[in-house]
Amino acid sequence: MSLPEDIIINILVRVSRCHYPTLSLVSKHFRSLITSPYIYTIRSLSGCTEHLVYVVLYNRDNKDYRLYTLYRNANGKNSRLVLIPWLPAVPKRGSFVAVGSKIYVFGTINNNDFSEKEKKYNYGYMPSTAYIIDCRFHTVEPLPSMPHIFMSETIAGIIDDKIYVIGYKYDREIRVVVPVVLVFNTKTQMWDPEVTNRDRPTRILIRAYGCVVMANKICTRELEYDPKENKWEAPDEKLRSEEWTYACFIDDVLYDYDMVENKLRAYDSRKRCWKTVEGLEELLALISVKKFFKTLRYGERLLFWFSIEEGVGGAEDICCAEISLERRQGGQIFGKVEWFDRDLIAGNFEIIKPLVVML
Amino acid sequence: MENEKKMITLKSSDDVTFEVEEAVVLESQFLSHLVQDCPAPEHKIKEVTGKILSKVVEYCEKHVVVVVDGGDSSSSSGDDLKKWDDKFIKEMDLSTVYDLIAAANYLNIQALLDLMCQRVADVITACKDHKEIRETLGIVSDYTAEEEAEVLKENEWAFD
Repeated sequence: MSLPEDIIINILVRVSRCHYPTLSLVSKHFRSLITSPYIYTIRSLSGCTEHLVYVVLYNRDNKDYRLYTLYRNANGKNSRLVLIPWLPAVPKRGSFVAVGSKIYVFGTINNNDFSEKEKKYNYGYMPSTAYIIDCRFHTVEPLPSMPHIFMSETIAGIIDDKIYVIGYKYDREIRVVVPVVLVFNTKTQMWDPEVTNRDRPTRILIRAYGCVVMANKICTRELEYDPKENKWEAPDEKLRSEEWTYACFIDDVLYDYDMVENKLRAYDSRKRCWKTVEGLEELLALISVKKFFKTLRYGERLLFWFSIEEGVGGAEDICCAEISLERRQGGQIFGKVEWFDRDLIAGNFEIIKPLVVML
Repeated sequence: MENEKKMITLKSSDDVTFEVEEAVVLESQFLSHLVQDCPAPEHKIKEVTGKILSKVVEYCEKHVVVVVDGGDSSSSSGDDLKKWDDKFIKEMDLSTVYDLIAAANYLNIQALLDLMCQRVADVITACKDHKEIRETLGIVSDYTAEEEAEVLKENEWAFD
């Protein structure tokens, strides 16, 4: 191929990033092009960025939490989750936020050497960790350490370049557990000075990974945090009326899987009402294990992750469906399965947190 | 007066002539300048053969931006154009694609250049491994066996 360099780059930016490992084997020239940051700049400038999916999986056999990437085949067959072997294990109960081509990781260092009793006694003393995974090259860059150490689960979301990490700490002065909000500025790569909030609730229920960013607030079913006002608020009664957990927010609508009814439900934040996403009966009929599921915003579409049990007590298949959403007149929402694949990884895994990055 | 369309003749390196509307020529940055600077009725394009120029003209005629009555400028609707593009590049052999890349690059027709690059990217994507990519694109590997083994090891995680 005797084409000018800028033409070769124009071609390579149009090849999915999933094929870059193969491309790097073609020639030294190709390898040098695709391993440079420049190619990602051009991908972005020529409108060739794509959504790539990463997933934190828990391996039940070796008790590891690690990052995998989804390699998708267009025909919906033989897609798979691939471990990025050199990345460190991510914190159990960590918080993960995808921003552009990067994944921010916040949490406590996994330390299995402590007994449960010691861990309890050490409340607030487990070493914390914060770093970025650069998904262009799968490298790790440390971040300034967190100004606080959280006791257990945290949730995190990004609003206007700032990541809000919310968790609880034990306040030794008043001897109660209180929620804390830490703010990381992704532009300056620094933690903002902490603003104390007197009105903070004394009790907050944080379910790991279970928050969405809605109307510029960090929302869980139990409580909402408004960063602009630095205020905690009770969520709308209607929104609270359903037990949503691992939801995602797309185009003014919150989507969540209803385990009890085995349906995908949707909360229209403008009309303030819940409805069922229609048209997914065939897909949902596959679900037999209802413990593990996650939803993820994928552009304007939704990625629905779940597991299927092979026979009673058998191994679980990890499955993923890409669902396009159509809002019809009268307010109904129809889902259409655009892509589906199952058995994405061999072994004994649990889906912890799916993420979508732009590359 | 406005309805009277100005026609321009393009002549390929092998003297094949194409009579096209000025609007079609304006799809090419290079030809726009040429037509402006040199108002001759015929322009010879020495770098492009008749076979390739006919493809370029076909593409530009389809993509030409037409001004409709309301004053809105629009080309054919996005979906139609996309379908037409798909058909245009489908089955096109790589040597024609390369010639069109060279022509689009020379004539500065960015959209055509991007479309042709997309075609090569699609060909690459369809290859089953790096050897097939080399074969298809006629690339000679500059890796030694040891180097290749090392890069293979580095990327092993991504392969089945």
